[in-house]
Amino acid sequence: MAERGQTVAPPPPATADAADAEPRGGPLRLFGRGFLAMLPLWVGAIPTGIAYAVAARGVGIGPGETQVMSLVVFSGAAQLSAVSLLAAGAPLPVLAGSAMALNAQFLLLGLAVSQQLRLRWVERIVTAWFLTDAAYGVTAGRRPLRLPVLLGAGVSMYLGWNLGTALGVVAGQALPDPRRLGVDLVIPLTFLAVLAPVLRTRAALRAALVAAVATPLLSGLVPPGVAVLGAGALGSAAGAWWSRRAGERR
Amino acid sequence: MSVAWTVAAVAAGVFALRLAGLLVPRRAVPPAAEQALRFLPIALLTALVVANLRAQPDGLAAWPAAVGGGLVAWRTRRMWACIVSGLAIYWLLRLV
Repeated sequence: MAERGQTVAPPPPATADAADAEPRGGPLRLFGRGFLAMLPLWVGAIPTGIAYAVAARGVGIGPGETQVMSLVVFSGAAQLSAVSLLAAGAPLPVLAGSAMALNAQFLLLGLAVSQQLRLRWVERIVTAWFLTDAAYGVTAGRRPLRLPVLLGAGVSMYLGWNLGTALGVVAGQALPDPRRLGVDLVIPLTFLAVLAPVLRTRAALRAALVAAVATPLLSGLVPPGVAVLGAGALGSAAGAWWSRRAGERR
Repeated sequence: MSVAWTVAAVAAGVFALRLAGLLVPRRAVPPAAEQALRFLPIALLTALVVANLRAQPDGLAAWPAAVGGGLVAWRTRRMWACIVSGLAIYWLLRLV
């Protein structure tokens, strides 16, 4: 139970963790830190939100429904696929199934979080609501992972995404497409900023290499979310296998 | 089929995925898998980066930009430096 106090509930331990002095402060401050860490990604989220809203309005979805979808689904890939399949007249199971396949990596994101944090039921539900690749991506580098930081990042992205959607609903056609400037690139660059500094051991490098090779190979066979799920699983298995082998040799 | 049903079904499906992983109890993972979980953030982030770069409309500029940004991140450990340098490389390559 002591663990629970350390990872989830306030107040945080009085002494700084030597390995990582960063995640200190009260829950509100940690929340703010997560929120701010996500702001650079708004540069990508807002234009994508606008693009989604324009696409949704384009196939005849009402302004209210367009916004509600962003509020309750909160996934660009799922929403854009739903809009295009809806336009094509696809049946409901196909629509829901595609949205899930595109986001299959959420399974692993949730698993990664649940293995680092001890969560109560309510916390699980709230975390699930706001969990995205980006929220996990910007907070994964901070060890130990703290729930308020993750939620701050998640809520930040939620606001940015819905703001973009609202902008698209209101003024979509009149706005230029900022994605021509490469703002979509901000998301992978942010992930790289978290990833690159932790690639310091051979096992970590091998995990990354296997995942990097597996992603395009799997992408040819399955939807992107499933490819990321599979590549993530293969990469982590490779990292574990290598570190165990290296350990045995020593 | 109504749009409302579509929204409800997609929302329920995606939320179920998000929640499923979070429902796995902390100690339910066998020790062999525990070691793999240590590498999960690295593998998952790598896969997300690669999948995202593959989806970029201008891959010839995006990949070198990512490599450059990644090197800057590796040296400096600064997120802003990575984003700014990556975008700068991207814009330069697109000008060429």
